[in-house]
Amino acid sequence: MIEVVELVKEFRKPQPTTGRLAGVRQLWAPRRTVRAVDQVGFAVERGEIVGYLGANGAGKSTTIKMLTGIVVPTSGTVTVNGLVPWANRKKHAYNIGVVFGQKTQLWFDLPLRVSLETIRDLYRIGAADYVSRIDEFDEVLQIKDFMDTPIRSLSLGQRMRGDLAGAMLHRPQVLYLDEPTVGLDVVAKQALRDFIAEQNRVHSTTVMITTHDMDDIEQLCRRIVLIDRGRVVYDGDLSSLKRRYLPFREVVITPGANADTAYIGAKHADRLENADGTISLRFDPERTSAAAVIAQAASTADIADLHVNEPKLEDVVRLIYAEAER
Amino acid sequence: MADLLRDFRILLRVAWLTELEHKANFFISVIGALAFNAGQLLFIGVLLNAFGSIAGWTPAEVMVLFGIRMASHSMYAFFFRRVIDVDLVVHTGEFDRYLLRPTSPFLQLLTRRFNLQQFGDVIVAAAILAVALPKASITWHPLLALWLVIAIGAGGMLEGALQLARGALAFRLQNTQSLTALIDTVFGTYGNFPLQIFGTLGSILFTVVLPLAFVGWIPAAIVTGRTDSLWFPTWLAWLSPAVGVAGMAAAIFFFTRQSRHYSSPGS
Ligand SMILES: Nc1ncnc2c1ncn2[C@@H]1O[C@H](COP(=O)(O)OP(=O)(O)O)[C@@H](O)[C@H]1O
Ligand SMILES: [Mg+2]
Repeated sequence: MIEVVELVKEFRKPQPTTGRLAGVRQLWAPRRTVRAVDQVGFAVERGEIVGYLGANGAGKSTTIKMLTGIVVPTSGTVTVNGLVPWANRKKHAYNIGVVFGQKTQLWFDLPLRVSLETIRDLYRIGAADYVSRIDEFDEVLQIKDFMDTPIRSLSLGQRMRGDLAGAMLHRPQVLYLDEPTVGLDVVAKQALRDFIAEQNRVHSTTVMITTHDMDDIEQLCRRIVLIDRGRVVYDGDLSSLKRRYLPFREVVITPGANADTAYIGAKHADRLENADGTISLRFDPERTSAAAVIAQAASTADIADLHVNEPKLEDVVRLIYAEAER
Repeated sequence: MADLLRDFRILLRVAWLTELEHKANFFISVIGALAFNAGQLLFIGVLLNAFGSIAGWTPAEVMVLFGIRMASHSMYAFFFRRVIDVDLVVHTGEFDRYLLRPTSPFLQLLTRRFNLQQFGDVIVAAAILAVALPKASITWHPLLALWLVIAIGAGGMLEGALQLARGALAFRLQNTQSLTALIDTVFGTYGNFPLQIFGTLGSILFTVVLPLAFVGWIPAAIVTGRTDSLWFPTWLAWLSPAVGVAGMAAAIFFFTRQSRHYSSPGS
């Protein structure tokens, strides 16, 4: 569905000029080049949900802008459903839906209803389809509650739900989301995720999402593409990403009041005494299992409480960034 | 083409609804336009009273020129004024949306607002022409009237084309807005004069380099039969509306080309 080969984007920014005839002098102003996206390549199949992750400034938004046809690449190729986005702009528009967390694609001063009707008309969506899709979207997004409110008066959560409805109204095959959940409350975030997951499941919509929200990733993304300073540093599924970067898991034990903590331990597990009096048994899931560790620990001493620490994507990402820094 | 017209209607509806949201501005803008043009009118009036005629043109002929200039400016203002918003649209990233929709970005630019306030210019231009045309001794012919309408439309396109080409620079440069005011001022000031007063060299410059001649002087010369003032043959003057149409086509092409350099702010 999406094919990206050796994609590069360089921004040439003139040094700012001021004073007399600044606009004209700027034509000759020295320029400095920023390479925002550097030789990026990947392919996405129909129906995939891909998390496109990276630190701030890594080049995520720039990549999305090239995939959507907003920005023309410096070099490399992009095809989405067989079309080059910036060259086949009009046709390509029917294939994609785009949501930017930072700026709305809707008409700011007008009620959501007018924006949706205008999108209906511009994309030549039939009246019956329009009604049924609005009904369908409303079930998860509850947009009918604020159809007559101008976009500028909507809460962020409402605005994002409106934007998502606008982006999906023409039933595009690909949906791009650039930090859609930033600043949203838990309920709005969940509505967004449910909606994305449902569109993907029911209509096989291909989804590419950038986010810093680990719950977004854990709930939605089967596949992760990680970029750092414009380059792809990981492309694969979420669980192998965790395995590769966080090979350890932990059982954290709170000893009982009279337990002799010195004996708490298990085979193939490293013992760490934590400052709060708990004990971590760190193990490699390839060599032993959480169940075995817990059973052995329970047989050595009285245990008040325990929990298993699953590897957190946050930790994974932090590790990868730390590695990239070096 | 039919598709484009349909999109135009759709976008005009949104623009109209947006305008209604701001309707308080409407009367203020119209009054502002009237006041501004009244000032210009007064200026011309004073000139005419002081000199009687300008460079061989009678006051009525100069009035016709001024009326035609105003009329083509009002056509520009009415249909194309939003081309001056390119900077804003580029720097706020509103242009993202234009590129994502399945219709012409240029059309979306033109219809980002409905230019209700530009009615003020249209009214003033119509009033001036209504007074001036009967005063000047014109031998009317249906084809001449038709030609005048076309020339006024083409003059509007030419002014729009210059502003659009200026706007297209915003894709690559900052600080180009000052040129907008410059074009406005040059058209609004020098455009009102029979250009022969600037001498042959001046009138050539204002035809070829800064094409003011097409928004007033040439059409007025044709309508009033004063083509003797032009520095080129009359038959060429009859073809002059082609310049406005071609200019607009070239400007749209240039705009589309430059839009490839759009770098979309923000992330
Ligand atoms: N319009 C632009 N002009 C100049 N530089 C830009 C522009 N957009 C992004 N950049 C630069 O490109 C790099 C990548 O930015 P971006 O794609 O927004 O990253 P991310 O979305 O991953 O935070 C950054 O160094 C940023 O400063
Ligand atoms: Mg970003």
